[in-house]
Amino acid sequence: MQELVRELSTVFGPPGAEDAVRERIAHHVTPYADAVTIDAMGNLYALKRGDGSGRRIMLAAHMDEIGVIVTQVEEDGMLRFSGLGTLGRKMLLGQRVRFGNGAVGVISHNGGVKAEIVENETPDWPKWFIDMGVQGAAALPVGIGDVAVFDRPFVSLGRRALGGFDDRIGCAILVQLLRTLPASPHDLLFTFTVQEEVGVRGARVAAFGQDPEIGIAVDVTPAGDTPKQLTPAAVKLGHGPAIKIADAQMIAHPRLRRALIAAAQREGIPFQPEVLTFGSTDAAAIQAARAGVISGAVSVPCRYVHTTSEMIDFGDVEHAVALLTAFLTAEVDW
Amino acid sequence: MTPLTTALLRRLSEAAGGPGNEGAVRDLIARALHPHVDALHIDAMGNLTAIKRGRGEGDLRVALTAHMDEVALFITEIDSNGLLHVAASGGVNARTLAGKGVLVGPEQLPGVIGWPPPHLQRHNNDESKRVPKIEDLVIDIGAADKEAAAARVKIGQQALFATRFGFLGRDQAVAEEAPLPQKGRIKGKAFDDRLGCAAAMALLMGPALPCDLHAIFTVQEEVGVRGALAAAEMLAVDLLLVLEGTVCDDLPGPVDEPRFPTTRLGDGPALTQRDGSYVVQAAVLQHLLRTAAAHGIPYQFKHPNAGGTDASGFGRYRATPTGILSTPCRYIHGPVAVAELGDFHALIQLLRAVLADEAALARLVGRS
Repeated sequence: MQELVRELSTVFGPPGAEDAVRERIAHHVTPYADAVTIDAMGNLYALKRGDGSGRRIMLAAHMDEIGVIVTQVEEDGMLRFSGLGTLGRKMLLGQRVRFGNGAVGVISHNGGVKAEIVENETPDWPKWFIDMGVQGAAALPVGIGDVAVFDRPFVSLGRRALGGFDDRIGCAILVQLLRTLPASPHDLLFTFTVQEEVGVRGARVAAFGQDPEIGIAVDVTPAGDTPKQLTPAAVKLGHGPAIKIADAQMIAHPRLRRALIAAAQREGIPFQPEVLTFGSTDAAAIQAARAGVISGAVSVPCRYVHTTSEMIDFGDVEHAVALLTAFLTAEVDW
Repeated sequence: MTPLTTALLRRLSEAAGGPGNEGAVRDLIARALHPHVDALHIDAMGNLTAIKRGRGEGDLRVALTAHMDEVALFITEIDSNGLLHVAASGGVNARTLAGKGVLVGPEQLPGVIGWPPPHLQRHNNDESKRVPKIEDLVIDIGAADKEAAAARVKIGQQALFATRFGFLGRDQAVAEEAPLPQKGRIKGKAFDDRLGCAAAMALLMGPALPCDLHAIFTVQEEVGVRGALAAAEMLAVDLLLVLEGTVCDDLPGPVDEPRFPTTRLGDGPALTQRDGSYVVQAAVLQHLLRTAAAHGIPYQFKHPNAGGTDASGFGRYRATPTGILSTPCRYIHGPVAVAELGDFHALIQLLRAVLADEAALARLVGRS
């Protein structure tokens, strides 16, 4: 599982440019799925049919990750950019970004290192730039509209790891489920979505097009177990997957939440209730599709979400697979 | 030869169509298109759809879309002096409004937006620095008191800029019923998005294309792509092309700041790679670029990641391949905008070139 996470978490996939991630995941799921399809927006679907007695369940993880887009090119070759997904400006100085063609640059701003470090000033977006190390715009390997991701190598810390896990960890869990799941009564639609970070855009069309009865997003959730957080959250790293109760965009359906909790209790799998006061997941879009879909989310607790070093615990990841296996192999009794 | 006349573009620009009040624009478009299309349909929200059957054998369906509404003011209160207080429908910069003429309500009553004269500002240090906000502005329709004003205007009615369409920098008068000139600067209101409407109309009024062509003229884009959202669920086409009049801020800026205009006037139609609410599929963008290159049609990229269009509304339900093409317009969302007819015609030329090649379109959307 660690190898799969290492592989998927380092593939290039900013919002709207998830092709390489989709290719890797398609490679993994094709041998195990009854049908693999891709829609016009780029969402990838792997269908695993049940025995006909169950429900039509959409499991969603998003392929895209936070990134940046080049908005302008200066004559001296510096690239002006803006963020894709929610980014804190304070984390940007000195970060490396990598474009789809492999080109790498470093981020700085008009104020320079002194403004940031000595005077503690973080300028507005238009003042930031990417330095590609070229002399003049003519030598640039990239241009306006090109997108890049932050350099976020996978680093194992033993049971825990650092890297870019939002939401390749969800993608890995879905792949692992498809590979290991015993017979299920349900038609399972493993859905790998695009453009979640810019407003759950892929999941909207996925849920509309596929019309599931039940929707479950598998994503990360910010852990609250670091010193003195501004927004208290009870979720802790290593205490089991989080079963979503509510976030800023949705209230998980109580039936689904109860069924997930019952499955965890039945199998003795640790879990934590999740109440998130900001952010959301693909489940919010799935829930609101058509006349409504019974939806919820299973989340992997994650520290430092949307930075270059997201931290997860593999115990939580393995328990998330076990929890979803327990839920998906049982009958849904409503 | 364009099927559009100067008179038609004038009527489109001057028609009153604030968000939710697009009736006059819809009637104008429907009447102009009626002789040229096979079907016209109006949905419950007020979106107008026109369908022109293709002459080809294939069943490819392409939709063009443009929004009929424009940013507007609406009356929120009539005060004891007979002055009308207003709020904005859509994004309006209040600094551009003071001193402008407007037309109020269905009877198009003339009014002016008042603001203190410079004489008074000099006597008050703060006044000269005061930046007007929408709630500071009033419309004066010449009523003596509240009763007189209330007899002519109702709260909730719209007020739109009384701007006349015209040409800039042209020595000779333009014949109203003659085809729209190929080049030159035009000025008028509501270019966002009546230029999009006009571009779609040019395609529908022209010779039949190989594919079935739908054109959806939407309502309430400026207040949150609401018409598109309502139309989106029923939309079943292979390709959607969103036509816009977009921001063009190629003017001098603060001296020491680098200038990165969203678009530049005269550099050709602006193609969107992605904006704040939609990512254009790479295959669609490449198809537009290849077609432009093959026909020698100029184009420019719109500054990425800013703004939004009906593409986000239409993209809410179905994963429809979607392109966004715009005519750059200076000063949009204000009383008067300026555009270059060369950009506008090049956009239509690009659309026509894209729609003429049915085989390439079928390959693009995976239907060949």
